[in-house]
Amino acid sequence: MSGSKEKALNLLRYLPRISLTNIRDNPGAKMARKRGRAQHGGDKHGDGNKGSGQRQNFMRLGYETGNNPFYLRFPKEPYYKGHHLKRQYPPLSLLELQKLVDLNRIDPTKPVDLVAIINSGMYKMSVDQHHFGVNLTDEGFEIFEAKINLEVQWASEPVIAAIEKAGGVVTTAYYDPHSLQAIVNTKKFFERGIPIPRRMMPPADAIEFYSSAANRGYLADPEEISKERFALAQKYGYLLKRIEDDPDYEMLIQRKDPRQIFFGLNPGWIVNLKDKVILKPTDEELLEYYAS
Amino acid sequence: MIRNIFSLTRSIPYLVQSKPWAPLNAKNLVSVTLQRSFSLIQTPTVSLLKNSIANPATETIRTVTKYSIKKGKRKSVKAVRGRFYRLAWGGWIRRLAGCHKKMWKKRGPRRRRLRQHVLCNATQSRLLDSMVGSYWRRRKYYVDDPYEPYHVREEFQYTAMKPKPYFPPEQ
Repeated sequence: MSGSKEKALNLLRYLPRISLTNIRDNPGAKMARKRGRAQHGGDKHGDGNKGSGQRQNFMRLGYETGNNPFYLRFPKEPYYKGHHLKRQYPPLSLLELQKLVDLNRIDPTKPVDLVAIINSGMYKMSVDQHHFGVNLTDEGFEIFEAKINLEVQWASEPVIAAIEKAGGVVTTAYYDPHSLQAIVNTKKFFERGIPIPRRMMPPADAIEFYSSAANRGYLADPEEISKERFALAQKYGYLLKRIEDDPDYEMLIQRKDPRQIFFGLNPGWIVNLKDKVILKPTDEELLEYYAS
Repeated sequence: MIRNIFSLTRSIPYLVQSKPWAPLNAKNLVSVTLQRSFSLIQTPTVSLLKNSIANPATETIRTVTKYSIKKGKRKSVKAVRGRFYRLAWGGWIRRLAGCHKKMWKKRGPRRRRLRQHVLCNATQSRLLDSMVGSYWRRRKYYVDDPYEPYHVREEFQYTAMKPKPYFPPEQ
């Protein structure tokens, strides 16, 4: 190697390595921005000169630059007190129920419960939004005429009167969120392959409602209920039809066990949809656990 | 003018030396490379951190959390749901300011007015809507809700949601 080459390489050895700090564009690769001079050439795009607008320091929501803000100006009021503990019952009116029966979305020859109402596809509820089932409202009570054995989660006095006037029976029943989760999507629940859970007893603040005969609670004494049925017929002035003489007597007296979730299926059973079999527990301990 | 520049370069020799096209020997290059930092890692970040901790006034205070740390969800302003109540049609109601203050000196009609809850206007309602999360904007189905009659506005033509009842013409 000649002397000059060696010298050049030696020099290169000490020169700085190429890096982000010492690279630059090729000459002429970048065009310098030109300063506009026409009507809106050197404009500030409506942001003004100096201050809040130009710096785009958007204020936080509700802030009024030092004023006592609107959202803090008024005294506190316990509007939402205990909202996370309150039970919600999405409403279904008697008019809608009548429509479901007329359109064959609900079969009135079988007992109608929350499963049947949800499977009609016209009623939606969501367990994670604290929904606890149907609140049957009195809209359309004057034209209600379906004779059904109905089980809802909440019903007022005129609603009970309208159903019993039409020759049907109504029960108010409580389902805990775990049971409701099984009810809301039955197919999905059975596909999980877990045993049907026991229905839990209602919480302390709901016990009174569900064991009251006036509300047709599922924990109430049947004799008390028949007394209340007669009393309500007297109050609203209609002739109470005798269930015992009804041709659908067997259907009308069907009730679920307080621990039962689905008609015809007991807690502890596993429904296998693929093989179309029902698996029942045989172990004594399990039988004792699932017994009501 | 030219003489002035010459005199300046003569008096401050490093001006000429630091120019990039000025001839430099290898020894000088080595000393330059050792002194310069070619990496961004060596930039003094520690002092910046120190400054922000030392001066808490520069830290911003925000009421609405747009993205929470755990789930990345929007969070609501608790002061809003402590003072206002949302009706299902989107209106917000509130108490009047001073409704608990110095009641002994206020006469009957004024006390009656202060007992009432009033509606916020559209702009305020929109602001409050944006200050709370979707949970508070969702319809609540409580039984025995004292605000039940106010959640729908069926009596007003432009806000009625249900179809009008049909009455067939009389023969």
